Amino acid sequence: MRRAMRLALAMQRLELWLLLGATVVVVIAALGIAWQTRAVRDEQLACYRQTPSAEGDVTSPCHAHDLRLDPLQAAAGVAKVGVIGVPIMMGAFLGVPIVARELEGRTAHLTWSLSRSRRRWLLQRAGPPLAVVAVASVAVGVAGDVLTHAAPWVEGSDPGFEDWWSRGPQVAVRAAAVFGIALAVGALLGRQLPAVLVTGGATLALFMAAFFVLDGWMEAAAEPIPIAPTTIVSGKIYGGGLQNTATGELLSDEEASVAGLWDEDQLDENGIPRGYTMYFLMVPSHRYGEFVVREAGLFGAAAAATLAIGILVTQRRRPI
Amino acid sequence: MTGVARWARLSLHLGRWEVLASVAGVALLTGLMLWFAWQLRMLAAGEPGCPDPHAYVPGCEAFAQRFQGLSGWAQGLLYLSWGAPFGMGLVLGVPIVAREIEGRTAGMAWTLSRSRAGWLRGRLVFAALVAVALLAVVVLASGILAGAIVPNLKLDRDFTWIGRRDWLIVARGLAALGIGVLVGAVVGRQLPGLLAAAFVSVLVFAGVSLAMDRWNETLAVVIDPYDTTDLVVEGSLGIGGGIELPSGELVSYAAITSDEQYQDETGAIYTRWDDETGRADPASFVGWDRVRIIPGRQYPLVVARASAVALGLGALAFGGATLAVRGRRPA
Repeated sequence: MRRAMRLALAMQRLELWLLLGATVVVVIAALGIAWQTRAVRDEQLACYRQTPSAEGDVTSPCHAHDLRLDPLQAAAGVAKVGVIGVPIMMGAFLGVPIVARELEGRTAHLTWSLSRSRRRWLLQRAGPPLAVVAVASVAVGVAGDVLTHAAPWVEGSDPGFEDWWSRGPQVAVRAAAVFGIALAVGALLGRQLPAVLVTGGATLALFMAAFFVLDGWMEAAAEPIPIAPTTIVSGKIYGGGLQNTATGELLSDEEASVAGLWDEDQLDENGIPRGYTMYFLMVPSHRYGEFVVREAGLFGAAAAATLAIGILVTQRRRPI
Repeated sequence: MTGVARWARLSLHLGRWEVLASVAGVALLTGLMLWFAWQLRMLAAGEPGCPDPHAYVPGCEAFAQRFQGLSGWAQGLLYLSWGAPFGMGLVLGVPIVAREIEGRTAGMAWTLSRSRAGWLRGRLVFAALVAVALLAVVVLASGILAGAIVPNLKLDRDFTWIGRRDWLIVARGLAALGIGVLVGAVVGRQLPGLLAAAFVSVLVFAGVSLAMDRWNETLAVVIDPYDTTDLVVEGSLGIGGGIELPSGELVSYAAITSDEQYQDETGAIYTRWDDETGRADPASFVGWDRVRIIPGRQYPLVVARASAVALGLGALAFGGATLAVRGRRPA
């Protein structure tokens, strides 16, 4: 077992070194930026506590900290691109060569003949790189999570659905799905570079489909949350309007405007139409975990299906 | 069959997958860009009373909302036209040498050619021609789309979407092609070569971008952001701001050691507040708020500079690849 693992990893050592190097860079960069952001933000908050804004002043009394936070936020944006991109690249570049390299190098016949079964051979070859992809992607996703929580506007609160694609362990499930696609496409095409290109296209299609499906689920789950000038709500907003306090009837912003509810004489002392409360049609932040599980299920199913296709193709195809 | 036709057929046959993928990608991208441009133009033509979809005009709110919703998607395509030269350059460039070495055919191919350099030149010229032709299509389509998204801007004198709608796309494609060939020749394997070339490209282009930013700063002018009559700001590229001291020296905001900075309606900056007068203390006057911009009229020069640097980089990489091919073992 250990020999099979060592062999599987040795065959892709160059790609592994490059991708693990990129993983380490992204994780260190994300954690470093998060640490620096928190440190500067803590200094700024201390500055605000000691230096209250003067009356009538519109500028920040602690502006110098903003000048340090701005480049950190720009760097955080780049690190988030790494959090999205590196797991996808790991899946694609470690998944494609497993079968395609043997077919392209015309060594598949020999290796498959020496194994008890093609399926066993494939599981031994694909298992170790898949484990590496999963572990490295979890590390990247956790670093992305730390980065999001360190943002100056989060301040220990729930970031909700912010940075959906660049944080959390679900990054690893997406990478596993890309790995499955890459394995299947590599087995089908039998050539590495074309397989990487086709995997890129298929991955784009999968992510776009997942985006629309998820967005549809979230929009369907959106609920009217009453808001007032003193309440703080967070979540993914899909619209809003006014709710009749007596009947509970919901009016969209457009309907409220047409009904003349926003006319000056209809407003109370808070600037809200009398007899109504404002609401947001939104998915509250506390439901973030539920949608993470749903998305993981979606990508997990894609991973299982594509890995099964990869096994099926490997079992049936000619070894050239 | 002439020598040129034979060369073209052989080159196309060797790189058919990469060329096919590039053609398919460009066809899809161009088709989408032209469709969005057509939709945006139709939308604008249907509302002749609303001349600027990006400005607030009473009665045009619904039109502006529809236009901006559609143009939001269209702008996403301009990101793809920014990425196209890097992707295409590497995909076409890396396998040229790496495939022959990995497939153990390099020895035969190089033996059958008069020289290794001549063989590489033949492969390179074909890949470069494909890249230039396809990226030129991307340039034209993205120019049409950009014009449809912002119909009221003079884009030939405007930094909006620089590098996503101009000939810099082609120059970057050739530079990426050169890097791809060089890294492919050094690594000698396709997939690790592609991966390594991608990482090298990120580092090289990030470095070039930073260097270009410093170089282009020589074109910057300092303006008063409170002067609304200053037309030089149109189409300009903002590259930062600072405080102009009474001596005329421009310093960064961070250069003021005081954390307190107060700004009045003319842009004058003070570091103390006078509670008695309810205004900033005149004795603490530091200087004026200023913004540094590169005027829109410098856009062609900046693109020409960046293109020249990218082409130089590509030529350097081609030279390096030739040396690598001459010096390396064919397996």
